[in-house]
Amino acid sequence: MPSAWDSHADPIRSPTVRMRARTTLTLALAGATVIGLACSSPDGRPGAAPSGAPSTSSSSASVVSAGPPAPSREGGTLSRAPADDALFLADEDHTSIRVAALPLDEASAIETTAVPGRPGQVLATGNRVLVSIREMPDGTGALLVMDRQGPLGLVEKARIPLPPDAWGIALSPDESLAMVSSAWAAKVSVIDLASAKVLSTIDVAREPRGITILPGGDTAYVSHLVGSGVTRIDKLRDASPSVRRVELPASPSRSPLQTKLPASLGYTVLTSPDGSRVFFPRQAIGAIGKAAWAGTAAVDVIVASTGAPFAAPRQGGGSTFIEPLVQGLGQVPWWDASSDVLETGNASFVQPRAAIYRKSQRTLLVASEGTNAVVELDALMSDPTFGPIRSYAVSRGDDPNVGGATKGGAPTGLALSADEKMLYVHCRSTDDLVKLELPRGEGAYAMAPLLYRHLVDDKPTHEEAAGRALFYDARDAITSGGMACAGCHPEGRDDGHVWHEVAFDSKVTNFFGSATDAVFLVDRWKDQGAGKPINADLPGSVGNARQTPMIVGRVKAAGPYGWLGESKDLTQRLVGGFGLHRWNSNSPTDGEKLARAAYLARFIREKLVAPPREKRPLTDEERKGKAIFTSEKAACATCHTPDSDYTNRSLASFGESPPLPGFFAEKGVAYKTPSLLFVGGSAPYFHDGRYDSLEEIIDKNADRMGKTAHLSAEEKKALVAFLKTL
Amino acid sequence: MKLQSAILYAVLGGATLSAAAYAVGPSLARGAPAAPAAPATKPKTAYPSMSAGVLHVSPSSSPASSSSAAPAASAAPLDSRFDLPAFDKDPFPTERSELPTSDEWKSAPAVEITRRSAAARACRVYRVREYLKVHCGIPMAGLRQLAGNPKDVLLFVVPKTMDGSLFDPPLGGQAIFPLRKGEARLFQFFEIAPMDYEGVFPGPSVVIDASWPDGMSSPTVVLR
Repeated sequence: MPSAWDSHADPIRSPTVRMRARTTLTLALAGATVIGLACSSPDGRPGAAPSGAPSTSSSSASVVSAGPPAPSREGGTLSRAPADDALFLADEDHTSIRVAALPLDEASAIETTAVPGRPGQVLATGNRVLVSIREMPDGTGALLVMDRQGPLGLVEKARIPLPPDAWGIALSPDESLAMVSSAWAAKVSVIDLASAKVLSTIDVAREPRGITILPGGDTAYVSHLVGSGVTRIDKLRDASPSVRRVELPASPSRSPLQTKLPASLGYTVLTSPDGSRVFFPRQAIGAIGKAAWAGTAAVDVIVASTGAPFAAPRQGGGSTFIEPLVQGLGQVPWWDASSDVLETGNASFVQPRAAIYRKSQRTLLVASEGTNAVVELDALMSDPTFGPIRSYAVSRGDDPNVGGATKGGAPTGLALSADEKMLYVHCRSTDDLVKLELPRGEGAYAMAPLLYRHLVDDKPTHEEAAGRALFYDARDAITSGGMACAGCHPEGRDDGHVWHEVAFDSKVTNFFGSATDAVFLVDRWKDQGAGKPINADLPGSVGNARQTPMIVGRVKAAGPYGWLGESKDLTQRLVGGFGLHRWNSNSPTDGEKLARAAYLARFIREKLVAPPREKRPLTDEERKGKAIFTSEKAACATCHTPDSDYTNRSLASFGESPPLPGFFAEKGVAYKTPSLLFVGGSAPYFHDGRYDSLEEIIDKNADRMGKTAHLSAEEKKALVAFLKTL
Repeated sequence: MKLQSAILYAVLGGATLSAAAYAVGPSLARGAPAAPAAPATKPKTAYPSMSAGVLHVSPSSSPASSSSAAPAASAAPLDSRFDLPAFDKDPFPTERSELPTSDEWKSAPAVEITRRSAAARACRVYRVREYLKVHCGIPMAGLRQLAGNPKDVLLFVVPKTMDGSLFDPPLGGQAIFPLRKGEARLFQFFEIAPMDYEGVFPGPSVVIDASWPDGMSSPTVVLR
């Protein structure tokens, strides 16, 4: 409960510890058993596979680990060796695995092994380390099985090709199976580690990320970055495992009455040590709470065996309050349990990015990317967000000019020491490895000084560092209003959500996650003198529908930007975005906003990495689709101009369709033609997300966008196949 | 392990209620190692103007059950929470039963739940059949069911009216609810929070989290 909540309870400033990591490249061939690995490559990238190298997996002896079992069977950007002698860190931004000697102190060695592509996750077990590779030189993904060599060295034992964007890793309890999610490809692969062969590749919903395998070893759950549903996979060793979508509305305890909430940011999933509970930390978009315009973070818990949720939905239960309080508070019906006012405080974390189970305390440690903290929650509760125990701040030294952490920013990976007294945190935006001492039990405590080990010596400019920090940091009141860019644009992609954009006049607009949030918060604003929304038909239909656009890989052009092309360039669009998302009363100057926007624009354009695409020639069907796309009759390419990222950046109007439930009926609006780059993985479609798939949007196009009514079913299929290659 | 306790006496609607303010260490999980006790909470004087009040009675409650709604509590002092039987030591009935009567609550045994935080040290839990009664002797603004089925749920805050300042609130609130397989409920006590820009506000306090989803062999109850 909040009154026992020791938020940011560390009053002790740790001395700056900025050790230069001892970096050595230990990339090496592991003898004849390694296939497809070389020390150099034609493109000069260390470790990249040479042209002509076999792309099949090793057919050598088993790559099943020898030695003690993995301390955690779910991968992360950070993983501890079972022997408690090393930490392994998947450094995606520097295409390497970093190995830090334990116990970690100011002088302990940290070595670096280059890998052939950006690593997604790492998982250490026995004397082996599994590494997922998001993008190999040919655009595919891979799972590397690496052997430890010497105290901190790694050599590749096997390379297992996988669909693009290989990311999440999980290990079965007997360590005979590994599973890997391919996020952008929307697939999950099951791998037999004895033979280093892929047993099956399973199609799942968009953006699979975290994976956990239950103690029985034959069932797994998969989290998704987009949407509230999760995936359950049974019969893992079968050639065709059983797959089903488990509907799991987000944060039922914080949902408006009779509402099932969508979710996003489902980076991770984990199982309790007894195998009974599965935890899904994520964002509950539209959850109610104080000023919760974007909803609030959640940990949704299910029964592992059945998939049944632990938490119950709100049903308008009763309440009782002392009468003077009720009488004195007047207009805000917080005592009315049937109202959608929930003055219980929001979840204590923002943008959950990783989580780990602390067995000795039966708690969850969740990395709060947006607040540069790790929170400890009661893992026995049906809704652990109502059981915050502590918050451990890991950042220090905010930038005095533009905000954002300069140390300990954007916690991304977590690992516990064997005795669970030390927590190691990978902080991505500042390239730090942080060690903090965890107290046991509850109540007041004195936090020991944190140890910071800076991992990279690349000395970014102030602008680069600021843009990077601001992208993840939700604490800056000018840019974020409680959610950073990465909260709705994870990795620069999108959350799949359609927001309510409420306009109070021609200049002031704000986003809301749900109609309920919009109605309530707008009503409260009115009480405080704000104007009546100009695009609201209260009750129930509030704001224009605006789907979160994917930004990574789509913002090379000068402009314009915005669904209506209202911003002449990206910097102006970002400034506009600050206003949409910023929920506080301060009035930043144009200079404060423009500086932040310029730093962010640079980071978004130069540092975010677009989803990988396989480098291969088009298939016959895709070529046929391309011919249709570029034909004069279909005229797709008239507006979706291929030589300018598949958009002419002009406005187009398609007539008026009835608004989706909960949204205002806009009249006479023309929308900027969106880029079709990466369109195959960014469903739903249209400004209001009314179409779930490319097949649906073409089927229902009715010649509004180009001419597609004349296409046969086969031709439509070919067109979709081509669009998915963009 | 023995823990110190302090007993707070409050007279509620003519019934004597003891609200034990436990002095407990950091680790409060049943089955977890207990830490050394902290100093006992200072006993608080009973609020002078007392009248039992019930704002909410479940709509589905029958007349018979509502007649059994008096929030009587056991007066037995509690020496150590860890001496109490677990709330799920006896199996829960598979058939639904009526709300317990006042007499049943008077003789109900105190039990200990799965886990409680230090913030819930002033709460006591009793069980009759599948029903739990959670009494928290904490400065009280109100009590609200946040989630779950409201059927067979009774909430009390005592007294309903107060003669003193809002900043000197009374002690005492109770939730009575069933614990049945396939159900979960979440309750929150509220205390008087410091003023913010919107004035006096109820601040969130102790949470009761009770869940027994299908597929779990036993329920979990956490006070935090």
